Amino acid sequence: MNIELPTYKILFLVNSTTADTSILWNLTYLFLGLGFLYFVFILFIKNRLSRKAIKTASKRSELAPIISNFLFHSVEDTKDEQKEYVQLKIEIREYLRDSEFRKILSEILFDLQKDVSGTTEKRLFKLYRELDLHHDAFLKLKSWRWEVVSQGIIELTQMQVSESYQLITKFVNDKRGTIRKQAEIAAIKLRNEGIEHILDSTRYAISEWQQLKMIEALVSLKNYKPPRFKSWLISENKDVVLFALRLIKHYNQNDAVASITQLVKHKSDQIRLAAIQCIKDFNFVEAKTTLRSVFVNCSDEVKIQILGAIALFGDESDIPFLNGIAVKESNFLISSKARSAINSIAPGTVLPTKGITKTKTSGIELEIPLGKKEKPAINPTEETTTISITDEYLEIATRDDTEILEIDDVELVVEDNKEVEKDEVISEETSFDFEEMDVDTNSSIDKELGLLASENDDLMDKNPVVENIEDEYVKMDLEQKDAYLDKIDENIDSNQVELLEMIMEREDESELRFRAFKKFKQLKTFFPVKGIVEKELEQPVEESEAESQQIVEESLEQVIEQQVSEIGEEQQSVFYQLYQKANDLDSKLILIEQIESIGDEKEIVFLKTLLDAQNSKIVKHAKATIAALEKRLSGTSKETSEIKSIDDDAGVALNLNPNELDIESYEKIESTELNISFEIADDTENNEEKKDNKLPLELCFLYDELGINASEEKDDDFDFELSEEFFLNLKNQKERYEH
Amino acid sequence: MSTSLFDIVLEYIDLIFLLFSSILFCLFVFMGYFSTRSSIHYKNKNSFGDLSKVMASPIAPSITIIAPAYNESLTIVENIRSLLSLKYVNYEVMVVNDGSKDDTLQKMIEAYDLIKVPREIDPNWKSKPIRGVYKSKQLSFSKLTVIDKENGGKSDALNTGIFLSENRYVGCIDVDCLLRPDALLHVVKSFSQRTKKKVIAVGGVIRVANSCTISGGTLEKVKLPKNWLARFQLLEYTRSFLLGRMAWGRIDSLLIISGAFGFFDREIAVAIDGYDTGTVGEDMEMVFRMRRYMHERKEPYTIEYIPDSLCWTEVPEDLNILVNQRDRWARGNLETLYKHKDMLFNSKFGRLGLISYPYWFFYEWLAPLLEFFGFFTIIYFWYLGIINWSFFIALTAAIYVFSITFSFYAILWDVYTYNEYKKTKDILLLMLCAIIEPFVFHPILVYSAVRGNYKKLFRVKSGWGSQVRKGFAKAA
Repeated sequence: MNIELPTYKILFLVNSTTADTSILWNLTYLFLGLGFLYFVFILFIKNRLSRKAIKTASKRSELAPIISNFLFHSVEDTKDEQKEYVQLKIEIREYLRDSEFRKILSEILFDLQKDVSGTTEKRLFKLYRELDLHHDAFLKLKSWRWEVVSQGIIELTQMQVSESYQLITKFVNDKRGTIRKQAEIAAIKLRNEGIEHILDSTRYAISEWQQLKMIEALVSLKNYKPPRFKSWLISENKDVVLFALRLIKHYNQNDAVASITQLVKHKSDQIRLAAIQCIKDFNFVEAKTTLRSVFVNCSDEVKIQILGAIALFGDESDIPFLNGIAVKESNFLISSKARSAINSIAPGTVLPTKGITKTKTSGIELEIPLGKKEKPAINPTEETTTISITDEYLEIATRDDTEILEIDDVELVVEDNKEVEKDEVISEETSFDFEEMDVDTNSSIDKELGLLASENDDLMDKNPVVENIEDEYVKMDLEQKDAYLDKIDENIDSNQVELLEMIMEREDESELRFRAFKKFKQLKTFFPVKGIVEKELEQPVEESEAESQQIVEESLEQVIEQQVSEIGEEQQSVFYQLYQKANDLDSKLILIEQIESIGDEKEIVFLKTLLDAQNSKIVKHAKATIAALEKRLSGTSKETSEIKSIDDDAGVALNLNPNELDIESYEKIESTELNISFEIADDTENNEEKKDNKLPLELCFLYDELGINASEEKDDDFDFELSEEFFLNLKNQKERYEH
Repeated sequence: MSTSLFDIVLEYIDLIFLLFSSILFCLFVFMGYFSTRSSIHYKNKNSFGDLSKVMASPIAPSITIIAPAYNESLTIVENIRSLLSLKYVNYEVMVVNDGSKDDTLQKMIEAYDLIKVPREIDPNWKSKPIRGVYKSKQLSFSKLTVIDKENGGKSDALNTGIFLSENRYVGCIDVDCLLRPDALLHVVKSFSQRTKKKVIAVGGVIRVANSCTISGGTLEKVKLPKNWLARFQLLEYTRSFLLGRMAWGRIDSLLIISGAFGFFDREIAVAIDGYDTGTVGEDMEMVFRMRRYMHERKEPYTIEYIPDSLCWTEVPEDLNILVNQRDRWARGNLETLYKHKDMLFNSKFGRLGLISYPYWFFYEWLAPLLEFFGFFTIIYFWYLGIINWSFFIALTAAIYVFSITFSFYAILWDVYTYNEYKKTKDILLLMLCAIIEPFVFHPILVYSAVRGNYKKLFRVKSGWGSQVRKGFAKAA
């Protein structure tokens, strides 16, 4: 069958498009030629670069002594030296006619400038001018190529050619970005008023990187007195405003409260953030209202910054506002920040809810009159948020008595007033009614829920679940106990808090006790006291917290006392721990040698234990060190007595619990403020007793937790001082006593 | 007539190949042109100023470097040490231990004196559960954060880092990569030098570190790899990073940022939920989504590309590992292109839809497949006696010579701009690689791409594969 006319034309057209191979061959030759050209170029460039490097190096080595002669020439030089100097000047004039030479000379001077300062630097600048090299740089400013102009600006700036200032500032509004940026830096570096000129006249945006470089340029200026940058906060160029804010922060100019506060409302997030940063740094408490008012319409990043600021200088009146955010905000970071801010203002207000289990007692009633009796009726027109126990909670409460209640996500649930629209803006009145509830009411509710311990009894102690866990724990071997403690880390609940307490009190193994204590301490923020959920429900927050604090302190005291009393005498040497951790013989021997110079009686006890060591070298070293140490200690009895006195003070600082200090002691310590210097106590017996309680290394961590820090002053034997936090605790104790 | 119709069909096939090749030539010529302009501009612009002066600036933006680690116990300590020695004031090194089966975590804990610290985790956490967050007790390692989590793959580990980071920018790198000390300064500069557009990501060149001398975590001497497979890859990387990506960056159409050295604006990265854990080409896919996100919001943005040699890494010297790696890349390519298929020739996405995506589709994904099937077709046609020999030889010669020329051009620019390989012998060896590459190395890549596509299309289960690192003697 023949295909005829209808498609003939099309077929003809298609047929006529047969690929012409000659084009392809031509292309092949073209590419071949190009390839060969590139090959030659590669070799040429490679060689040129190598030759240039060699040539420059040789020129540099040739010129280096000449430049050195110029730079370090003095009128006091000998006649011969003076003669040589003049001769060199004449010679170099000849060389300077060669542009390549001038270029290399300039490069050498620029490199040298980075390494010199003071008088030498000034001489270098002078030499640059004397050799008329700056004329080359001026010529570069006239070039049409942006990179050449930029290079010229850099050279003039680097060599501090101040008369170029006027010329360079003309480029501040150049349309070519690189020239503009170099001109800005140059203006700052050449004259102190350069920054003002830029801020006044720039019409272009200033990138963040450029701002960074300009601040760096300002910082490098000597004897620079910055202007009051608040004047540029009203600039129409938003980058100028931003830069002014950063400069204000950098130079700590805290006299622009109103303007900075106003800028929190700026539409640019960058400016808002910079303004908030200033507010935080300068502690502008008066900006708090503005921060709160703009919060809703801000981006997440700004919101986080605002919350950070409120956390810094907020007070109790901000808590409802923060509560509202913590509850309503869908972004976890923001709600988390709000909770953190609440805790910053009123520590311990927000408590953990994750992974906390609770037992319930029998007789729980389904009906919970939460907040209905004591609380005023909720005004349906007001936007309020009430914390209540949800139905889910109630449902759980009807289960078997011995069942553990999981209250992970259920115990505190925001129950919005149904008559209020869900999407309404969070009111500042939003609050956790939970905290405001009458104590009695709370108690009754809690009792009904089975969450509250009875008045005279600790519910947790009677909790069969806890008892079972404790029994199980006691039966475990060391490894199992260790693993169990690890497990606690991953998923903590209130039963385990109880268990931790039990371990701290009863565990024989000091390491386990210590680990339990560390975990317990870590959880301090989440579980300020045992059975905290009960106490939280039972008491107003502040009271509960105070009590929590007290219990924690008591626990700490017990742990520390127990630790100190149970640790063997040889273990009380700081070298004991180090020795145990040393892996090889050399390390151990080095440690033993170290004892000789800084050890005392504790170390002698420790060293004596080493006399039974299997390794003869250790025994030998230990013997020698004991002898040397005893000799040193006996020879320095006077010094020892002084150290002993300090140790007594260390006893005050380290062993005494704030609860044990009487008011007089407290006042005595307080009067010395933070730079406390202890008086040597008279009671020698007491001193001896306390001195024996010198700390092993592991207890240092405990004291770190307590806020007792190492002093800045070096002391061979004792180096602790009391932290501010410690005195605050004491102050609280004092107030309690006074009550 | 049936014979003449068949001839026409054959001529059509010739024509299609000619057209395809011509477009390829044009694209590469344009690529060469744009990359040249971009390189010259970059070189001139960055010849001024001293970055190190900015390194201690009080307003320097914050960066988190996220380095996922899986069974890296042999090298992890030194690799972290190298990361901690970067020249920058405001950065954090976040190592994410992705459920390593060896003692990677323990090594880190011991070497850097780490302790577990409490950290509040988002209840809606999407990545694999976190076992613990560790910080060092020593002030000198305060920049280090170690996250221990359950195994979830590289993307999941990177997501963990992105979500836990609180800094403005996040850098996703391979933990065994060696960064030049001033790398972060370059990155920060790229992020913050624009005023009209928001820089959402910054990518950079990956250099081959095989056979280089590295001491104390820093690169001491650059050497040409001794292994030929590594040399071919070096040539390929030079071509791809110095010409290809530079050109795409010039026209703001860069679609891929290497997973070994990629930095992102954290805000945008979080907004798009980080990396897609369901693909093996997560680096490319993330850039696609970031671009899409910005396009949809009609916000001016760009992705910056740094041609400086900031990141050095070890490339596979073993054939199987190389094939696995390229197989994975091919699968990732296909997955990403398929996921964002609506972008193809979609003017809504501008150059992205009209140039970048089609290029990736036709020349990165389709080309190896065409080569593969073309090879067998030629054999078959030869067998049938219908092959147009003159056309075939002319086209093959043109493409072959062009590939050599293009490689030479890449070498030329490498010598002109960075001149990393000082010996002329090394350059001559690289040129030799360019000449023999189409016969030796290229078929391996084609095979790997076909295998990857086959696995993906026929759902053959395959994961990441693994690379046994020789370790480039960082600890030396």
